[in-house]
Amino acid sequence: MYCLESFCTDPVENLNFEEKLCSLNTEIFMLWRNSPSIIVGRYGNIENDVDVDFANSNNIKIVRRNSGGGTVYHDLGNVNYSFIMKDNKNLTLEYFSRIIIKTLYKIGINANLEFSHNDIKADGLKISGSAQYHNHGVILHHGTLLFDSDLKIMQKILKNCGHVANIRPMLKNDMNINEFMKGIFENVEF
Amino acid sequence: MLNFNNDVKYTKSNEWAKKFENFIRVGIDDYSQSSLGDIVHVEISEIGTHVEAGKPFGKIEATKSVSDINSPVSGVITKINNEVIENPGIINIAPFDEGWLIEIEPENISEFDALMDSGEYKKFISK
Repeated sequence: MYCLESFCTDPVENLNFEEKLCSLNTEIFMLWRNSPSIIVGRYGNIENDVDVDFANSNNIKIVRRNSGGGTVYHDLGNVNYSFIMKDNKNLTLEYFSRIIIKTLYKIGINANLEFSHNDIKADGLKISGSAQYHNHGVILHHGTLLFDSDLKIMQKILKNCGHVANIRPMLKNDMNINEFMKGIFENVEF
Repeated sequence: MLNFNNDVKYTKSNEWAKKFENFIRVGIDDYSQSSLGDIVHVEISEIGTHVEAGKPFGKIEATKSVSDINSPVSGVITKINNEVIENPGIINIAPFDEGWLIEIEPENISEFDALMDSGEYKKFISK
């Protein structure tokens, strides 16, 4: 498994890069961040989910991804992770979410899986969501980790924003986002 | 308990194909629908599209997961089940019957003959 970090923060470039990685026939774990943007699921309805006027007036890009699931807000306080692997039926949303939960535990966050939506929660609030795309025998499983996102903007721009929280205030020992990403790389087990 | 239909043949990517006089009807099988979970969206190429055996003709979204649906045989799509486009949950309820997806006019019937029968498929998915 190759571990890599994208230093690009353009959402279109990152999603295109992720798609290209899926065609390499190599198993990859990647962390990446996007500048403020709205990422819509393959069949998501932008008008229903997003305050488009607010997005446009604040230069927030709206980008569609290939995977399923709902519409999410990204900014530089959110860390995205991607697993790219040879597909098999055991690689469920739950399988990958448990890897993330275990990794977060080692960093100092007690999180758990909310089964109905496969969201990861801490203190009863959503800190991570995920989605998958199965294509030509390859699975892409990717998700968000709300570390230090602007939740006010998120709640303003997403019409159906649920009860979410950032990870950073939950940490016993504070760290910045680079240390958080380093902690994920050091503790994630495949 | 998974259902297997002895009147159809199966692909390694979990689609079924049933031979009629002039066409092959295609869907996803019970193993696939139960693995996917609640199906919420189906996307299928248009009637008249040429499809190739083993290549995708559409996509299915279930529980945040989007998957390709591959064609068991090469040929041209002659009919689409619009019921499943309107109500994708039918696939979960009746994958072999009302939940069929497309009909294909096949180019090479030997591609159909080469698919797995029910017994071979049971062994394949239990590996």
